[in-house]
Amino acid sequence: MVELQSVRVTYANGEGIDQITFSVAPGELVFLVGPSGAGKSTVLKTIYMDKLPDEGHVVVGSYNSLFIRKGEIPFLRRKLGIVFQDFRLFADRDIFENVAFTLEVIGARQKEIKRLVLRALADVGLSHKARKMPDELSGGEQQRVAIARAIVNEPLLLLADEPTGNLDPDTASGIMEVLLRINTRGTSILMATHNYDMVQRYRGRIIKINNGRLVA
Amino acid sequence: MSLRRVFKETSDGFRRAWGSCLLSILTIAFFLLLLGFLALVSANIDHFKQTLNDRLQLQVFISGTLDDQEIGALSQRISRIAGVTKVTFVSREMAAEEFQREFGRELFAALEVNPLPSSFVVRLGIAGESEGRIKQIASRIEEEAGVDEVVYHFQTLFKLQRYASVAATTSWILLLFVTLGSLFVVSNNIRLVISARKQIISTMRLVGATPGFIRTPLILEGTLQGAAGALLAGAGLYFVNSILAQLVPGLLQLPPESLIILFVLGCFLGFLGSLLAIKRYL
Repeated sequence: MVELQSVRVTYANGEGIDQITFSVAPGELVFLVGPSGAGKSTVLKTIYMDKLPDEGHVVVGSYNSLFIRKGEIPFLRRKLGIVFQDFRLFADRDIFENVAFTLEVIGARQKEIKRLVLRALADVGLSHKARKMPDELSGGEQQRVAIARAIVNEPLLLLADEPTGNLDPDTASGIMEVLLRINTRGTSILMATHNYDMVQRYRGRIIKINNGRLVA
Repeated sequence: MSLRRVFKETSDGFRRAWGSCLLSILTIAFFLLLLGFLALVSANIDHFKQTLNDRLQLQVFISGTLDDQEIGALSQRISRIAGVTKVTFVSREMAAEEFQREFGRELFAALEVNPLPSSFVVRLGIAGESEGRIKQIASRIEEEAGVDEVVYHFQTLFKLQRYASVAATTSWILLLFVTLGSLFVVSNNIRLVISARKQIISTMRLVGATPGFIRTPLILEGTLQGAAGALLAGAGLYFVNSILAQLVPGLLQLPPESLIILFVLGCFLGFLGSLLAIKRYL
């Protein structure tokens, strides 16, 4: 479903990733673990094609980084759900509208949007805060909204870039529970984190990365 | 993307950032008002110049001994002189009527006979030409048999015309600068509004929004801001114009088309401003 083959990305300062090869199967939970600056976010960026590989290739569903056109990238991203450490919610609209945006992008009908958004908010336990603004929620709640926005479109793969990085341990556990529940229902998850101790507590495949390369 | 969504997103944009939107509208309104006012001033100066040109005429007094046939022949000869566009005969009676209209019947009634001679009013099609050239034409007419005197008062007219030309050039140059300045300021203002949404635009792209999906409501928002600014400016200009019209009789009035032009210009400013601003982020 998602496959990276000998991927190399080099930034202007010489840093980047090299020889990255792995795949994520449908329904799988994969942790990409490594210290800060190891290249985790760059790996995720190659998957949502914010960065195209200098060498090697990335395949996401029917899209291949070797052949994808610029205009196709938004359509690729609609097959993915992305969650960031800093939540990246739309500060100018309420929780319902934040989650609904993903569906508006694909042109879903209003009735359908309402049904799916309420279901996604229920999945993350925030139905009662649908009309709150992001800044009225705690960090953990904002991350749940970001997860709801990422899963509302039932993506092929949920990419989570340090989703618990800004949260206290209890709240982080709560977020992990939400992610595991989503994974149990069949959504593949690739989660980048520097917290090796935390991921060991959960089932799932662990891929280690350091200095831009996968390590055994 | 459905039209309904575009309009919803646009109206939500106004609602969410009404302060900066209002600032954009007022900026556009201010510049359009300034533009409209300058255009009005320029048009009035041009109108004034035209009025001055229309007054470029000579009064040719003719001998009282000429009969109708000789007057007709003289008129023909004067018409053929280069630079003369129109020759109008003013009889002694017509001159008397004109005199009475301007100075009253009492003064004229005191006179036993009509002292006013017949004359030709000679219109010259040489607007903007030198005083020397006009003198040349006057001398040429004076050489004609039957012509007693040629009178003209161009010194003041020429001076006024020179002032009007300088004022017209200045106002058109100013108009050009204000137009360019307004495009720059409006574009920058909209850019600031959009810059505040930079993070939002980047997140929209990450959740799969196409550039068109993001761009369309923002451009519509900018265009509507331009339209609202133009309506405000139009109302302001109409108000200023009606007050000036009361203070300065004979002032050129704003034609209705100019308000339509102002509206289109406002929409265009908003459209172009937002398009240029968004280009940076998409």
